[in-house]
Amino acid sequence: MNLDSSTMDVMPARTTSIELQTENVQVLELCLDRLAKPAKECIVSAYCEGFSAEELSERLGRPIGTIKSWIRRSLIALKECIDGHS
Amino acid sequence: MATADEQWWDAQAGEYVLGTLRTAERDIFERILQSDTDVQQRVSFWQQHFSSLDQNITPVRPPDYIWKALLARIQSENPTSQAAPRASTTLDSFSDNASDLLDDSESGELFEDFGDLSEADNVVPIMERSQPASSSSTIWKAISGLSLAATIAMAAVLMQLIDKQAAPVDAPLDVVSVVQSEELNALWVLSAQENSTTLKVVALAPPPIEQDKSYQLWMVKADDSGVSSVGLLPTTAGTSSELSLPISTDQAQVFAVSLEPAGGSPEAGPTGPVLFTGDITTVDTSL
Repeated sequence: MNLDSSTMDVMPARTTSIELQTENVQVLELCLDRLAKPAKECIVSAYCEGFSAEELSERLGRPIGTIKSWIRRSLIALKECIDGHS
Repeated sequence: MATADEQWWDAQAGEYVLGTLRTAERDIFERILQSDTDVQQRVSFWQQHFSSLDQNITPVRPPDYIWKALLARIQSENPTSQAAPRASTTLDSFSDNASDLLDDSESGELFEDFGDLSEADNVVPIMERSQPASSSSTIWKAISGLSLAATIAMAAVLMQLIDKQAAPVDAPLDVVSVVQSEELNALWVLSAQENSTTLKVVALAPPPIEQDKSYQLWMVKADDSGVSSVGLLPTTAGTSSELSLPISTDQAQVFAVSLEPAGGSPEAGPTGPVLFTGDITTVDTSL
């Protein structure tokens, strides 16, 4: 990545970026905690461990349709929650 | 309040970032993503917020099945090599290989969706750019400067590459010790399988020694009741040998290396100075 002066001018200050990141972490944690436990597990396992919906279905012993539904409803709830705290 | 349509696209973008879209769904989504700025923003939103989960991921040793697959691939591509794996000892190429190996499965998407593993925070760099296979002594020197954990992992694999008579890959190493200098450079790697009395030894970077001297390996007993001789260590970098364990590794607390006359100590114990030691590490192969 070339960091010429014009790029540097538009880059946010590092402290701002860190503050924003910290805020994002807190908001995400808060919103994830509002989800039902299995739904939260689906989201976190899919992101952190790379589980597919099929793998989550096997792992949690629930039909694939249920897992997909949990994930999508959780994402919509997360989006609303995060937007509400921004 | 978002409309149902907006919610659908939020969920689709979220699933894309999570990696839970099926292949066909993902292909269609990616085509739209290329040109639709609204969809790009939705993806960016999730990437930005989920990235905080990355901080919760702790460094991990790659599971054994990845090592095995990697090793099998190296051997099949490079059957005549008796030395180091061909330029596959960087994490860059490790993740490339792992990604290739997993391409046929859904989990292969992990590597595409979450970027270059070598830049991820949870990946422990193994080593700098590797040496060509022909410079086997150089690679051993490079390995000797690694962290202990990385040395154990790399040496366990490389040991089996240079020694075709060594145990097959599906027989994992259970006990490993790295004999280090005071500067914490790895000098020899010792390994054994559970319930076996055979100790495999690889000389990584043994310090130069006079012709009339030998390095002798000892096991210091756990209850400080004395030492047992294991044998003489190889003194050429990159060579390996097998010694016989006089006592079980769980009866010993540490390996020690003393400087002795050529052929070994004339006594039951060391007669020269103890120069190096190596802690005994039990490797968890339950992954």
